[in-house]
Amino acid sequence: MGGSFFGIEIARSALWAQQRALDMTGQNVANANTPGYSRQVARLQTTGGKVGASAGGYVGTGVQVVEINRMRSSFLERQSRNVTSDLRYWEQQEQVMKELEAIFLEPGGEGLQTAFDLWWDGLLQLANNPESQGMRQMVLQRGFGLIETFKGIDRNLTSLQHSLEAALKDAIDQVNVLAEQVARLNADIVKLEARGQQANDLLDRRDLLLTELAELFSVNVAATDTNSVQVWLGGRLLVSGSEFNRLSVADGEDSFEVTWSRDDAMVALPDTGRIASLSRTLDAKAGVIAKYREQLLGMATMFSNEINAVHAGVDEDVPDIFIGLPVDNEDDDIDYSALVLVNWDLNPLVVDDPGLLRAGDSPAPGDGSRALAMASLRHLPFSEYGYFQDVPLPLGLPADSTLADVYAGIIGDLGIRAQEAERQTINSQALLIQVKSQQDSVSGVSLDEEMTNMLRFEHAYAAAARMLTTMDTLLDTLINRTGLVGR
Amino acid sequence: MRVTHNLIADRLLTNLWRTERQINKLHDQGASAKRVNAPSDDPVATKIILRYRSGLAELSRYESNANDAGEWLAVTDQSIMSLYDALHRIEELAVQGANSSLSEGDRYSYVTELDEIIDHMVVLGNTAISGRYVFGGHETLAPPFSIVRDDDGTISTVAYRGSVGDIDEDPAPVVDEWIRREIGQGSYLTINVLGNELFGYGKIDPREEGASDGPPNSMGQGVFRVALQIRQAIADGQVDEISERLLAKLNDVHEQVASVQVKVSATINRAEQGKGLTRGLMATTQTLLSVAEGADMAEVIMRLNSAEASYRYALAVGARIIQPTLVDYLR
Repeated sequence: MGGSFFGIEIARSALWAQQRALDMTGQNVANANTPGYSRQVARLQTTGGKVGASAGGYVGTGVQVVEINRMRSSFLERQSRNVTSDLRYWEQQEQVMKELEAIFLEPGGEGLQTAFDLWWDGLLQLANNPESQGMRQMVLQRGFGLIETFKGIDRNLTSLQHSLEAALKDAIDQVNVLAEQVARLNADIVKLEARGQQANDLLDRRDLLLTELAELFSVNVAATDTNSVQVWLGGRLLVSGSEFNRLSVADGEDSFEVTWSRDDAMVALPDTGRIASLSRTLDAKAGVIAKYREQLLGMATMFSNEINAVHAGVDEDVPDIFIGLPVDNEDDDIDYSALVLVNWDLNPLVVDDPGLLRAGDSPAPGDGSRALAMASLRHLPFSEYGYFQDVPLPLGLPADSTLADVYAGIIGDLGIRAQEAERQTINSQALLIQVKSQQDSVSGVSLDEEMTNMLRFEHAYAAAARMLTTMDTLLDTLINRTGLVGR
Repeated sequence: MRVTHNLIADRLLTNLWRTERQINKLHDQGASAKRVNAPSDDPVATKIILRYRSGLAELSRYESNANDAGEWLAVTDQSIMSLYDALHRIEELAVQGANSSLSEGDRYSYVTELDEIIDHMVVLGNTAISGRYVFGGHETLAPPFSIVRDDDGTISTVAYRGSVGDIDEDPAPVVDEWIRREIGQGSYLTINVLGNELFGYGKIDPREEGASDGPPNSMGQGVFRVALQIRQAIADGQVDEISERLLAKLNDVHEQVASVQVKVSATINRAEQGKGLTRGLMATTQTLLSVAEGADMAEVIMRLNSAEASYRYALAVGARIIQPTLVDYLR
């Protein structure tokens, strides 16, 4: 029924709705730089009409805010998470590779190659001057230098391994914290929405958490009817509703295994994200650090074994061992398979008395033939090492390569990996920017747009207020100016 | 598509980062004058650089080995030349001494000169380079030749203490007395002449003439023995012995020394050739190395300039785009 105050009612609903819309603009502007914030839009709708009270039939009754829309594309959301996982994977790889490059110091001329060059050169000089004690001292010094370089690289690789292990543990802790938060938000969202309220801000926060989770591993997120999400990791549920499963890191013998705390089952890690990057790098078999360490150890083993084989001789007064484990036993037996770089060293007997370094086949002072033979190992492939024919080659060493070949192989491999990581990082960055701009185009706050909206709503508000004034004037006319005929 | 100010800011930052990354790399290249500063800059080139650099270190050792060999051989050659002269003089004296009409005094003066020549030849046999005796095989620290005198002071024999090598086998298998220099990868130059090779005669039994328990050995039919025999023959006036037998033996010895000298000259040539080859390789390797690792500075500067320019553009455009908002135009 079109009552006298009907128009006032319409103006009131307009004032209220425009004000809500203005509030939304204010909220958007306030959160323009809040990470993960999705711009919100008040959806206005007519309040419905009534039929036939007066001529013209259907009459509108005003406006209402039916919903605060959260501008978000779940498709872009998923894409952005995937790209983020990729990016974090490669960023982590790039960081590790850069550190490895810094450890090997090639091709700067301060690396292992130079130490080897100096060592072979020292042996040739000794071969030229087998009479000289000074040359023996020099060979020993260069031997120390070579061994120290080996050990230094190995030490740095080990400490890199340790720091990556710590990073992996931190990352797993982070997963647990994030999973717990997602589960809690799930519960809150379900509760709020059950009461018919919109949980926009909570949804934003959950999305942000899921993105953070995606930095650690590529998450598989499934939405449920009740607006809570399930997070899958390696075929099992990490978060489901308000429940979540904890992960833990098993301190393995020489590797780190990520397991489900509940039943200690191994987590099948996905291929992207920081955790995958870390755990791949740390893998005791296929991991790049383990591989390099193993190859270095293999080089050291072959090297000391063959040098000793050339050095060993019939002379009872001279120890056979020149390089190897610290030898304290008299019978010169070395178990080369037990060699570890940490305690690899020159034979202290030879170090104490350089005269024991055998330069020649005979004790004659001018005989440099052994030194010459040792120096010739520089170009000898492993398959031609005289004293190693019956023993299997250490893992990862091709039989037809020399020491320098193996080392060049390591450096080449490192270079290719680092280059790949660098390139992929740049690519993923570009891709992420691409997705982010699409996302931003949907969810981002544009200040110009908000200012325009502000004007729009402000004008509408002013107009509604004017409506109210007009209605007021109408009533004034009706109440105060009518019925005065003949007065 | 909606474009928000945050998006513009993000893009601007990313573009700046990308250019900065580029400038950083170019700066590294410019500062080090090297194109490859880390394996990731060019993995293939890195491997090549490692090999070339190692090769250069090795080649410079080969070169100095060849120089060293050359020095050693030159000294050896000099001694052999002097020995040659000494043998000539012995021959002259032998011819003159093979004269039955010589007086006692003449013979005495010949014997005295021969003694001096033998002395001189021992000095030649004990030639040393920086304290190392060149004719002693691996026994480089003790003089290989020494004169053994009778009780009355006359020279009875010359003893040899150097190592005795099997000079027929070259290269000898495991144990030998040769001194070698590596003058190229796997290329070894034998630089020493053994005392028994030069002063002896052919392959000799070092234990001949009574020294049954090894060194010091007197030399079999070698230079010193012939010289001593000639001296003895002149002293005793055995003219026929000289003309019939000893001059022929002296001739044999002469030829032996000559053949050793030929060998030494050939070795000197090889050392020179090796040096030339090594120098050539070094020059080539150096060129290849600088091609592999060297930065083309002109290119670096050019690329740096263009990267810098695009950096400036990005900054300028960014500053223009970010500044204005609608807020500026609202009352």
